[in-house]
Amino acid sequence: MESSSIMEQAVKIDSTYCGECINCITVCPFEAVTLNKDKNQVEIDPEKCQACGICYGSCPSGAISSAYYDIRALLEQVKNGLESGRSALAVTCRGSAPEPEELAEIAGVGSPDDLINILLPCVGRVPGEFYLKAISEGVQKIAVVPCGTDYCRFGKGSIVAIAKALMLKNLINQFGYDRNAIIIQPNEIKIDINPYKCIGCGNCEYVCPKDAPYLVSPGVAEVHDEKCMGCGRCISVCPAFAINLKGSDYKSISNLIGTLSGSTADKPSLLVFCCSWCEYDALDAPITYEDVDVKFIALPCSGRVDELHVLEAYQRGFDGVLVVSCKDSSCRFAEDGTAAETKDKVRKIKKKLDSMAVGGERLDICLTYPNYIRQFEPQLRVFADGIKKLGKTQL
Amino acid sequence: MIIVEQKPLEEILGYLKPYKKVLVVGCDGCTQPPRSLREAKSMAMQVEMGSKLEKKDITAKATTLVKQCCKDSVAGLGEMLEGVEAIVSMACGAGVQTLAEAFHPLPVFPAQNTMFIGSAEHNQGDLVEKCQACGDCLLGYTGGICPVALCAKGLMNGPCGGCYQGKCEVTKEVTDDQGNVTTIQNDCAWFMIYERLRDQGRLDLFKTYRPMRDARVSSSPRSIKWA
Amino acid sequence: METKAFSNLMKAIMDGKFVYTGELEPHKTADITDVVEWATTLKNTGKIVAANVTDNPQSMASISSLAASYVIQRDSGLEVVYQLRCSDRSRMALFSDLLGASMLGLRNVLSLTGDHPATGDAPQSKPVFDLDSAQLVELVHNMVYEKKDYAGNEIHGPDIQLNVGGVANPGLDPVEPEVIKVARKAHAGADFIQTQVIFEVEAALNFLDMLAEYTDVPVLMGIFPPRSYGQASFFDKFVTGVTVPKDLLDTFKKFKEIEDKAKRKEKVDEYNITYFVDFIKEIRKKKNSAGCHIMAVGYPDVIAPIITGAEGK
Repeated sequence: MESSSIMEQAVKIDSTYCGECINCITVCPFEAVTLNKDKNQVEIDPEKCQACGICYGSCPSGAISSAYYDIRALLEQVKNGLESGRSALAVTCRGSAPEPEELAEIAGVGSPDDLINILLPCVGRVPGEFYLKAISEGVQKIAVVPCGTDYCRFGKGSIVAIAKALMLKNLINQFGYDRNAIIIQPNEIKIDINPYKCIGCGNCEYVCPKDAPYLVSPGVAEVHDEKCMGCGRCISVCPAFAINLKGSDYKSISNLIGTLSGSTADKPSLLVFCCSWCEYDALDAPITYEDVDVKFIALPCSGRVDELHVLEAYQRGFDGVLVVSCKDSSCRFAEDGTAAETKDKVRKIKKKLDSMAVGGERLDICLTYPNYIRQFEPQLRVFADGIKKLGKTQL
Repeated sequence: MIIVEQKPLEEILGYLKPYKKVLVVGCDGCTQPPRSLREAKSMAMQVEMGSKLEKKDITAKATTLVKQCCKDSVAGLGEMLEGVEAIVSMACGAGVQTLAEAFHPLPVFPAQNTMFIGSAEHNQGDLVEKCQACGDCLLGYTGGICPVALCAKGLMNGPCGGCYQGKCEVTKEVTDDQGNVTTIQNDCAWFMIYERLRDQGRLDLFKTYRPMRDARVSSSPRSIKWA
Repeated sequence: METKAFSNLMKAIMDGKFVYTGELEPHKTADITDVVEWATTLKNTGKIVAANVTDNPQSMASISSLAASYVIQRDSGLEVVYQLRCSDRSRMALFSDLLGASMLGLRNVLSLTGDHPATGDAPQSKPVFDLDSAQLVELVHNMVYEKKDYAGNEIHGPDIQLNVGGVANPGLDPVEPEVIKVARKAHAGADFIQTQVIFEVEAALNFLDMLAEYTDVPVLMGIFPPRSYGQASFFDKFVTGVTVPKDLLDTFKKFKEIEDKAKRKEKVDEYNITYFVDFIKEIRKKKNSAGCHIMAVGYPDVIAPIITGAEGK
């Protein structure tokens, strides 16, 4: 599935407000922001931009705009939360989000219900101003939960987030607040391998883009912890279900499919396996259609798409499955991208579906760039129409 | 490792026509690609969904064994077999036969074609043949490159006249699962042997004439006394 | 061990003569009249001492080379070199065919590995390769000199009278592994070596020199006077290890422009004669160079002039 609509950038710069402070150039992990000396203006190269938003969070003059997680939208969330009686705020990277209970403990509140939980791709994108405004709105405590500095999928996001939070701690202290009103607690979600289940096949070692797992005698895999970036590709090929990754292991996703498959009696239903690093809008506020039921499951990477889960989706009553993957250069894990591999995986499953009572046309892959907005929905609609035409499966 | 390739689902469903309760048994042993619990689960789902095409309703459970070719360990299937009318084995031919013998009269069907003994060329994602289990290992004379498995003619005194610039005269057409056909020209095993021995300063081995082999060591069926 | 000469070919070689052999190719048919005719033509040149009868060349099965060899030798009077490949026969079949050959009065056998069936017209066929060409040479050698079969069992009755040759491809790149392999064949008992076609005289001389370092087995260098540009470029492009010099190709390309067929042929013949007379004159300077194997199937006109030219001083 290829997108055809006009490409609109997610992160843009308005030179009328830009003071050429070059903060954005310094923080951009992808060398996408440059100073055009001829025009004396700062520019963003849409081909290099990965829409991490770190420049947005670092711009002192509001010249940079972001289609996702704009400060007004974030503050809106805070206000709503405060109105519903929540007093603490957690700002968490979706790449390493702790369980709700764990998060409540980090923030020092009794229950997850006391938390206004803001989950976003990279905490580094949040402007300092946001934290101050949140405090001034009445937030008592802020837990800043970025990834560990070496675990940031955008390279510099975590460092920027931590530096910003440290500075704010001092700042609020000078204003008379408790410095501990801001808590910084980096988190990482990495795989672990159960040596009692591992059969030592080496599949994980083969597929890992970071060379994290490795085989040791007598035939079990271990992990170079520091190398694992949590994409979960290995889990989708582990023959023995020996690899665990919090929230993305076989059972968790399997259970989720079961839960999501509940309400699909009369209309065709779709399940979308979506990479967490693109289509943020769709993941935060899932798209709904009148005529087709659409459910989303966020994966740490499209490489985590699992043949078993796809087959299970049909068995549980879904009529179509769509896999959303970042286009090559946008992959947060593999230099040469995951899309090609995922495409291959999808193609192989399609072939199997053809010889079952499902049909390969009920599975597709959709490639998107996170740095261009509004690319996904039209593709989803086309796929949904296709499934609508096919109707329910024979299962 | 023993290289296997899954049979078309149609063939497997064909075997299962008379049955409704099936057990798919994976093998944690030496099959490559691995055919353990994951693959058994997938096969079970494929069988279940595939059977619907024929308006049938097969129930397929999945389990796995450490080594299907080990008579003692297959007994562990025990309870899993309750009510089961047929077994689908994900193992190599040795595993299938061990199950078939152990659980006779329960029918056991192969889900794989057993291809060869080989290794994984990870950079290309290919599995390639390395050994024909000929029973008379020559690798000590040939620089660790097997002319039995890697020379198309299995020559003892190569290379033949079909070797040019290190390539074999034999090409094979490989069709991938998308139907694309690529022609692969193999490397000449004897040329590789020559290069390796030359680089190791052991060309004397290459100069040695190798007499006719005794084919009895590779004549089936073979068995050896182990214990 | 003293080499015994059973064939006229081997006798001539051992007498130190520079010999010429030709090529005969039976087809996928039960009729070999045309091949016998060609053998008669070769015989009538008076300069060809023997001719090879091919065995399923390019792995396309044709009439049995044993049967064809016998009939050709009987009907044309030209001595044959019975070719035998390992692709299609186990050691037992090879051995029994060799007994038959000796009985039928065939005196030369040429051992070949043979093309892989996958390269021929029946890629579905199961390749045999129980033996390779060096081992087949050894089998013949043991039959002749030890009166033993493949397993060391005794052969009863009359002595086996066969001279066995091996083949070589001197144009291979790199040529060293080929040279070593040919040396192994000599070691296994090859009486002579016939080579694949070669056009480049430098490569031919180099091969002879390299081989001489290992063995003094006599070599008959293979040549092929092409009848047309198409034929020459076919060899250049498709025959493993054969490179046709650019000069020759260019000249033949120019000949294509000559419209008058007879004139064109005259030019081609003239070129071939000059080219190969020079070629042979060069190679026969080498001590282990024992002759030429001229593979000019269906092109008799140049054979006699080439040989006469090469024999003149």
